[in-house]
Amino acid sequence: MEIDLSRIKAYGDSLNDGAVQVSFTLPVPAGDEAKEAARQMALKMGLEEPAVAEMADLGAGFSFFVIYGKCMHTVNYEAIKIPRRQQLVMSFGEVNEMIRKEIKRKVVVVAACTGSDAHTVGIDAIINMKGYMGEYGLERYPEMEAYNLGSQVPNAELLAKAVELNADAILVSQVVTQKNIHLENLTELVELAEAEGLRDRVLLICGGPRISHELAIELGYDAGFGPGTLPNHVASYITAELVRRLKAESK
Amino acid sequence: MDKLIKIIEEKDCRAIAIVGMTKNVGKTVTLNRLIAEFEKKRLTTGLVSAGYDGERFDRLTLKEKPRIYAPQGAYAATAGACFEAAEAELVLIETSDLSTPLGLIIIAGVKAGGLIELAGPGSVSGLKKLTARMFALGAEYILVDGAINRMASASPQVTDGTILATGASLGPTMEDVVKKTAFRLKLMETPTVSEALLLKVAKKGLAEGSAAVVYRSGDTYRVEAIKAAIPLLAVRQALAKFSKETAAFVFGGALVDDIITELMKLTPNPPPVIVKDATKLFLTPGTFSRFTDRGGRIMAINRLNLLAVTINPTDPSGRDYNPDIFLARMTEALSPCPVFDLVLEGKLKDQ
Repeated sequence: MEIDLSRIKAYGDSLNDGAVQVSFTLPVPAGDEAKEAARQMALKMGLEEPAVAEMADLGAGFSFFVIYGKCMHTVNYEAIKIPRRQQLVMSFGEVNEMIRKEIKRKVVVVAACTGSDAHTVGIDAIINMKGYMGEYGLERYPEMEAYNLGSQVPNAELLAKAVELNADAILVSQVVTQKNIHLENLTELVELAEAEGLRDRVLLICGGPRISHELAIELGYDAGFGPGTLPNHVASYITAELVRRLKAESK
Repeated sequence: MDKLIKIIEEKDCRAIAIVGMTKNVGKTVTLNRLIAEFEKKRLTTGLVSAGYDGERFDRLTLKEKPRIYAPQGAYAATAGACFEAAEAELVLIETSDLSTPLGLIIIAGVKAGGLIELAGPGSVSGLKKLTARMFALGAEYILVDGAINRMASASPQVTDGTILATGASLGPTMEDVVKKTAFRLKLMETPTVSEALLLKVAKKGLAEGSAAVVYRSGDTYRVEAIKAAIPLLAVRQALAKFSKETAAFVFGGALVDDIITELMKLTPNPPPVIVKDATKLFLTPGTFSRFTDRGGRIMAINRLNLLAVTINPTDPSGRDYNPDIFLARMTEALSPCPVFDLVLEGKLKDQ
């Protein structure tokens, strides 16, 4: 089967048939007119030979459709370049071993939900002893000292606490929405750390359902962790980065 | 645009920070215009971001964003993964020791112009290193694109001129946008300590400690430095030393609302507060005005060099303003600071 990667199409039953399935709801009761409306909607989306495979009345004058059709557009897969980096992931044992061998002291991590945010589920999953999905939380790591400061912690207080505990890393969790307030609470921590001369002394890490590496860079954090993150991902990053910095310093 | 370039040339700024009031206020549009103007004048530009710029879609709103075109001959500092993925043809000059989630930051030369994504370091010290390297390589101007509402790249440690971008996405009404921008401008234009002797003792205090209390002593001043792990932890001690002779408080780090509130509890006539520069100010309008209404003054050791404000009358959520009215209102409210709508200027030129 020869696939032309410069012109890929959706795949249904055979290569390049362009078959796609879409589903949507229309604010009209199910019936022949609704079916025709759905077909026309699909045509306007650019689908060829649209067929209504399923129509279901949702009640209250709404109906739901599943449509099969052919999308003739192609995409040049070869021209797509996405900046990406493989994250090093170590196991619980490997992380502790690396800290013992290379850092030779306990790694201190301070975590909190900052500002007005009270969604502690994320930070609890990473920090708490019992962990998440079979992976122990950072509290369980013998070579780490993890402090969970809880929710609604003001940024200035978090920094002061981190200094007091001599933290290597600060972990903040935040449910970022499109409202700028959440973003600005995250950027404030970075700006405060900078103003206090702390920025180069501590790793700043953010996490939350909308957080990605790219957003972390935009926010000014050293790393960002999104959905699906397990405690050992965070522990691996912190440990590997501290070791990298130690080695860079001793050069 | 010509006017903005003229301001940059007249003030002889070589490293320019473009900072924003929030997201989607046109930082990258301003950056692109400056890149194009410098290219026209055959000046070598160095590009770096304090955050992440040039990606096709906004990560949160999923709307298309302006991309960044790096012209041939320019320098760019960006994370390894962005270097690999750039559409512009880049040559690796050197790899820095600054790490990002997308790899170590690389300084590259642009061999053939094209689109580029700029992912920068999260720290002022990182930006400082990268700008210094690009100047050493031969960049004549360096443009530091900002991120969200972060101001740190405007620090005199990194850049010698700042452009502030603001726009409709900042608030629910035009008046709200004007008010918030005017307040930020007021903070950014915090005056330097004009009295030479006071400036000298303030600097001495911060050389010795994280904060300091300056006392009047006959015709001169006496300074007491306070040491702490970080400046915020020196505040309480500094304030406890307040007396009738206190001529000023000097804080080496962030100036947050709580400090001003505590200071105002000490005395009805608070002494001046001196900070390193305006990037250290984290005050809200209410606290700031309560302080200044009581005769309180805030001064800086180093000044931020604010060159101009650029405005964006459109908002991704669809709340757009009439560009002419917005420009007129902003110009009036921010006077004498020059205000530009670079998109509107471009349209007028094309007509």
